[in-house]
Amino acid sequence: MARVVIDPITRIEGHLRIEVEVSRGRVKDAWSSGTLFRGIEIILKGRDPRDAWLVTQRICGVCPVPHGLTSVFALEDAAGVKPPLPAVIVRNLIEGTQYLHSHILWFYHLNGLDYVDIVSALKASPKEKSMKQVKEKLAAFVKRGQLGPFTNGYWGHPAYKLPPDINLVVVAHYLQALEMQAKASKLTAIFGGKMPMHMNTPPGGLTKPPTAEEIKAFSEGLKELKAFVNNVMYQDLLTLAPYYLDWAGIGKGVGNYLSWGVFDSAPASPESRFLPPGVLLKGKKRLEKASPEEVKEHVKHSFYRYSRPLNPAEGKTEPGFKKHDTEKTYSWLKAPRYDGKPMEVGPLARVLIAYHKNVKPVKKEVDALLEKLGHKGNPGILQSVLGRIAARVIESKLIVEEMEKWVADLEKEMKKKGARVYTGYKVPKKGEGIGLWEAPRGALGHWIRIKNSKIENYQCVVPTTWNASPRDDKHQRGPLEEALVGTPVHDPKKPLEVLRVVHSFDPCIACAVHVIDPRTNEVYRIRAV
Amino acid sequence: MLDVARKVIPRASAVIAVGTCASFGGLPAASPNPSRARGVMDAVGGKVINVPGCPANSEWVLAVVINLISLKKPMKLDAHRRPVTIYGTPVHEQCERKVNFDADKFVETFGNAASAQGYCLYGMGCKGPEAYSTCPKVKWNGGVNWCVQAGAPCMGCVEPNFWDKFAPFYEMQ
Repeated sequence: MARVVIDPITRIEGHLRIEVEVSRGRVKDAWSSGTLFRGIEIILKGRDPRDAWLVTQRICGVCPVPHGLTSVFALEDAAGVKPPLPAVIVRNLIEGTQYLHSHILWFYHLNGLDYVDIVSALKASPKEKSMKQVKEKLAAFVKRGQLGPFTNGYWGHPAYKLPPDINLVVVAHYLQALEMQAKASKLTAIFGGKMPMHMNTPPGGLTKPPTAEEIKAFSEGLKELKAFVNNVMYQDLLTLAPYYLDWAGIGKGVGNYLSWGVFDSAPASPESRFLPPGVLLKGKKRLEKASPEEVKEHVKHSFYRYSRPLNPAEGKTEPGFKKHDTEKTYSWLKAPRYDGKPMEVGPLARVLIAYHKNVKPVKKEVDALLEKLGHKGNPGILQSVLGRIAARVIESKLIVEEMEKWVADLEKEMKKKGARVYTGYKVPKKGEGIGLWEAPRGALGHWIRIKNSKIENYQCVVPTTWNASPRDDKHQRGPLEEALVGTPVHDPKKPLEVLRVVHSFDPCIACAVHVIDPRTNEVYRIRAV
Repeated sequence: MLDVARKVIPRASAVIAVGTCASFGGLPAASPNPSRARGVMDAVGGKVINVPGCPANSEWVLAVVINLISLKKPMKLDAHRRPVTIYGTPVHEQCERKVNFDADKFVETFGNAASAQGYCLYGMGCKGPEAYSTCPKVKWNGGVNWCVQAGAPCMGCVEPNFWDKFAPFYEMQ
């Protein structure tokens, strides 16, 4: 047995360290640690509540839009203000572009290289001119001894299964996807001013009404993204999946799923969201209502001053760094639990919950994909690493389709006489509010408490805190930790399989993976790829 | 991170701090700075070229890199070590809405006709007169748009300590 340290894991956003114990070629136990602390909740205290959404967007440069919107919802909840319908639609549209940007980036640039062998692509014998050019480009990288973005892969690892020609095609799409994610951000900027850190959705609605030209430019750009999602990304999923079907049986995890719901059809009515809120518990067929009261954050194994598990409405952020020790405290992440249970959040949770709620377009897409993969009527296989990949692609396809409808709705709404995009409000002297929404990576909640018209307390429970949380007061593993247990590891010096499980959650904190051998305590220090 | 920076920076031919956090500490360094964050020039020193902005505009970053590679001449920097070609003029002076400032036409609430007609956002809390950058000319995401064109007051994100110096960012009722 072997202990391996990978530091840092790349192709994620932020600072995450994973430690795994490998025994007889499988992961026996795992520990997930967030290693970065900034204290943004502390910085928010005492500030003007109207500024909170500008601050919270900076939590993450990859998904600032949902952090901004969730904060806006929290203040709107506290102030009792509802934005007019056109504002709701524009917010959906920029949230949608954020999803497309994030999922394209993840599918090709963060996760893709766990499945696509760049060096094998050089052995392809392409006939098309464009593919020949991609091969030449790649060969030139290798010849100079610099793989550029493709440096440090576990190239040649036996877990790579694609033939050279397919590897080359996906590399070509990898390069094309770089342009596509920039295009998705351009669409956000059409309404938002810039991306990341959009500026047009203050609490109450929008800064200004969208113009006919802006709507037209958005609509044009969306067509191009739709073509890419449907004709390239979705097709790549169909091409790759048959080679990696064994990953439909790996990395299931806790089997509990939570979504707060995302994409509003009316102001402040979460139950009617396109992807609805819900809670799906392991072994239970019935979907439960998602209630923020059931959320409690545990800190027993985190670097915070100990307190009993608290609901975020009364939550505290009091750092208390101790030595990193997987038996005691080992993460800057708290451990959020729902009714005491660890919950997986993200595209898989949203898609499964929508499927159970019989959301028609979701059901149709999922069933069609299962049939294409030869698993008709068996959505259970989605509870896996492959399922998380499929869910992100299906979700992109569904969202881009809905976005076209929202653009048409927006045009119609803005043509109405007296169309409004902003509702005035007063910041309450005292009050509390909750914003519940979904970032591309999963359930996002912001809790605000206002006193003397200033922020008295602010707590964010973000997707990766759910997914990559450490153990809780009852010593239950977090979802990522649980998903890692049982993962096959061919070679502890090249823990590609561990990376596949970690990347399937699209964690948003920088990251290191440790693989431990409890018998020999042998440690391999590996720079992650 | 700090160890790596201390090792690399003294030997580097150029050091570019990309974004307001790397330049001046940015949001993590905002009061009460719980993690004691600092920008590169304060934490390590050296001949840093600051390219602040939240985020840094990719056109500015490219301009600095191209300048270093092709001209091989030191860039003229201001007191905050920002290239003056990018950070030399107030946003307000270059703003397309300045005509409305001069004509006393101001937006008083978001979302109304005045906001659509491009009235000046100064009364809403715009920091354009105190923020120095080429935002109105270069714009963002390949020239698509910028904050004021989207109807939002400039929050002065290129300036040192802007989270504390300029907050609250909105001045309307």
